[in-house]
Amino acid sequence: MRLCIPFMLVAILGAAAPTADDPPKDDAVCTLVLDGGSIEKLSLESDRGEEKIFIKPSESVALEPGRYRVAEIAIEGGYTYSGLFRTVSQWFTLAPGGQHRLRAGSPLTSRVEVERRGRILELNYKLQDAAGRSYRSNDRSNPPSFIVTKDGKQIGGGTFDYG
Amino acid sequence: MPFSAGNGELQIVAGQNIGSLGDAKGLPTTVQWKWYYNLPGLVFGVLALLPLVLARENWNFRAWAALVPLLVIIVLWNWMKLLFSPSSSTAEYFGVMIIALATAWTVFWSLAGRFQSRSKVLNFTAAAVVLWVMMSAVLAAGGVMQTSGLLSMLISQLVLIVAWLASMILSARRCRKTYSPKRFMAWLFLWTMLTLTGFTFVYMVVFILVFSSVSMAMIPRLLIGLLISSGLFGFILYLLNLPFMVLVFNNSIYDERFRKTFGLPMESNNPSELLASCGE
Repeated sequence: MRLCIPFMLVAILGAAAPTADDPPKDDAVCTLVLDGGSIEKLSLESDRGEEKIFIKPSESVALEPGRYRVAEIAIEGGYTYSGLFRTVSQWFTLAPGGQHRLRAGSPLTSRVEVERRGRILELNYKLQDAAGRSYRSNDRSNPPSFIVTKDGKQIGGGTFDYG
Repeated sequence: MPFSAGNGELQIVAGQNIGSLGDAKGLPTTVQWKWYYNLPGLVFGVLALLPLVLARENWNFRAWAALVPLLVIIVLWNWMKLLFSPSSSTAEYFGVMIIALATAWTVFWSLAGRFQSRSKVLNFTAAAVVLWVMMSAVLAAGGVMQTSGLLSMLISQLVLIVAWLASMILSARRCRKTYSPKRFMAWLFLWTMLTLTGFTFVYMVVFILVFSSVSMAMIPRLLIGLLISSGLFGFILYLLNLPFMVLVFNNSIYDERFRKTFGLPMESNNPSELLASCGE
């Protein structure tokens, strides 16, 4: 029963959160232009603590003026970005009647961060959007791989472990 | 990286099949690799050899047997890696830790004859410093010791070393009157578990209270976890120490150093003393 309470709370809060279908009450509507594709869910958090959720948003969405940050992005293929635990949040401001271009979603780019520890190179795989947000997937059947080359010749390679 | 990587620029490209979401091939990252980055992996060998080459008391073929436990531990670790196939970073991290400890013990036993001055405090301090410096050197060379968390790493090593030395001294105290290797090892098992659990427990409690913000509700669960993990740690330490104790019990040079350093009765070679002891 104790487990049910958080789920019920989430369900109630989720229902209370405005969605893309709720038109902003303020007349001064701002536009958030989404520069990127394949977004299935976009969750924004305002500096007033409000959550705005857009399911399969179109190229632009209407918002009330204010300061926002990206809380979560889910894109096709089960890839998600969570900004909830970011220590440094990138806030953007929407002035009345103005617009902001948000780079999010596809295309995604594979990158590798390399750190040397003695004779070991520690590789950290990142799948990032154009704004540098890292996306994760729970699908373990398709692990990313890497190759190491020197003077054009492959000298190493393998697949990344999850976690 | 293998020694064959040599010197030069390495390009690392990661990729994943992400369908229509983007290119399967990622952006390359360039790393400058120097041939000498591989050398630190050999530092433990140099450190283990130094006291054998430089200290006059080790200019003896039998003294070089100190390298055997180190080699046994390396072979067993490589076998464990094959058996459990941990991730490369985990294997490297624990590998460096184990080799660092084994190297420190090799140097300790190679120089054990020098920790026999009249001042017990001085002997203990000198032994702890030698073990600490050796362990730190191997860890630093192996790239395990980073600037972040350096202090906690150094303190952890000191806790480990002091706990081990304490367990050896306390076990020896229980064997001063009636000594046998089996009796010593039984006491050592008990004291290793107790000292490691005790020292690690106190250290972790202080560390948690000073450096992290843990809610009071979490403390009982954390304490139980700490007791179990430090007990397990003590057991692993005892197992790692076994090859060195086998050396000590089977090599007259190290047996003598061991008995003198830890104040255990010497085996008598005097026939009259032996006869007298038989008469008793």
